[in-house]
Amino acid sequence: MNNSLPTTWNHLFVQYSEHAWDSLFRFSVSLCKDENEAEDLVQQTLLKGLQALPTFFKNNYAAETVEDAVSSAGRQGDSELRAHLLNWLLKICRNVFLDSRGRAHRKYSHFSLDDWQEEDNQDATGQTVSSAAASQHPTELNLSDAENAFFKDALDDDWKERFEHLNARQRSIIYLAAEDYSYKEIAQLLEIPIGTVMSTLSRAIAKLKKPAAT
Amino acid sequence: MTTDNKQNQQSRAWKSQVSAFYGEKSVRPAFRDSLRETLLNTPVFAAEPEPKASLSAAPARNWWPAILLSSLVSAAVAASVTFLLVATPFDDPADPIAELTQLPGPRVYPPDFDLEGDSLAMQDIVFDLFADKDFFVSKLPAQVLAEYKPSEGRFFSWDGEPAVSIQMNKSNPQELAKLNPDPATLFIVKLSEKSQRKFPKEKTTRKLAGKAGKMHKVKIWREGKYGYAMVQSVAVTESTP
Repeated sequence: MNNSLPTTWNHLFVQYSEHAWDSLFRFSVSLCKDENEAEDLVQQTLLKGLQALPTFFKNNYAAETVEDAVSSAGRQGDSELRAHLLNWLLKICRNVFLDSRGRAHRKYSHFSLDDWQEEDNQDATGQTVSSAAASQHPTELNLSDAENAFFKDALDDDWKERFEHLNARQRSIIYLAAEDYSYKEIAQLLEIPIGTVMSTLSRAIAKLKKPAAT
Repeated sequence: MTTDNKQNQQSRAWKSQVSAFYGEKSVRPAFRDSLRETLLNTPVFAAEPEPKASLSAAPARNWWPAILLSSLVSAAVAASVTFLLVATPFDDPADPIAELTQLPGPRVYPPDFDLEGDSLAMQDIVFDLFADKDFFVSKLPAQVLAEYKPSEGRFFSWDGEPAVSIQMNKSNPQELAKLNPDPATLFIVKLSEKSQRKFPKEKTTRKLAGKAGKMHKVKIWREGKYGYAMVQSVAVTESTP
């Protein structure tokens, strides 16, 4: 990669986002299963991200110009900025995917993150999640605390076949969880309540573990 | 190794399996090059700060033609809306159930959800998808689940209210092959006060002509605020009295 300072938004974007393209692609595959479709999704996401980059820097780092953005990137530290950029791109990716999937999903995308606390307590499916974990404040939650109760065993040889039958939300949550994102981070990225993340993950893992049964 | 360590290691097993599965996937080199090329050559339309308007430099603008045009357009729109309201009958003479059965099922468009292997997850999915928990509260009827397994489904709007269509496969595949290879479609619609009368309280069976010369056997009933229509295409001979 060229280490000289970027002078355009385009160069800045490529320099700081390129490391994330594989992760973005994997996340896209988790959403749409098909790798060709995932490539289209990655391209659309990156083009949207490029156009929104000045706003990203303006809103998060008060940087109005490329020069400001470069110096704020220097202050922030490369790895932190890259992680921030990756999460931002994952969000764009998810929105692009949902936009392509009709009205009901757009409603889903409007599900406010502000509701998570209330939703967490009300989510009826939370019963499969350990109650101790569910009652914790989300900032204290992470997968390793809560998962021991129900994620003990390895998956059998046929799990990939069952994985194909999960829906996009379940696959993307499993992917992010496997990448060690916490419940809270997954909830923020997918803009769904933390209780929904927990219940969806537990249901999805249960489905992966055993043959589908009605 | 302590018990805790062992447990932690076990709990990480599924994660490493999933991670390894995705780890095999990466952006193709040719696609990476093409992405880089595209991103470096796409113009970025950064929002420029708006120049401050100078009062002295701004030419005096005559607003009257714009106001007049705006008034005329508003009047025309109001007249059209009034005409439409007057001209539209309050009761649609078309058969609403027949109309429902003609709607594209979950197999036509990409599904919004999948109940395969998780037939009781309908309510969870609604909770997951919609902020308003009262948006759509309905379970799949037990009688239907006794014979069918739900598969993919879609949300749609019917009479201005939320509704779902779910593909239902016969639980017994042999029976399915013998009777009809087409899966049935279960429609569940939230009923408004007005649309309640379109669904009978008791389960009623009707036969309706479908597309491409097919006949549909439709079971319709109402439970609370929800209307149900189970649509199964049938062989033409079966529909002949």
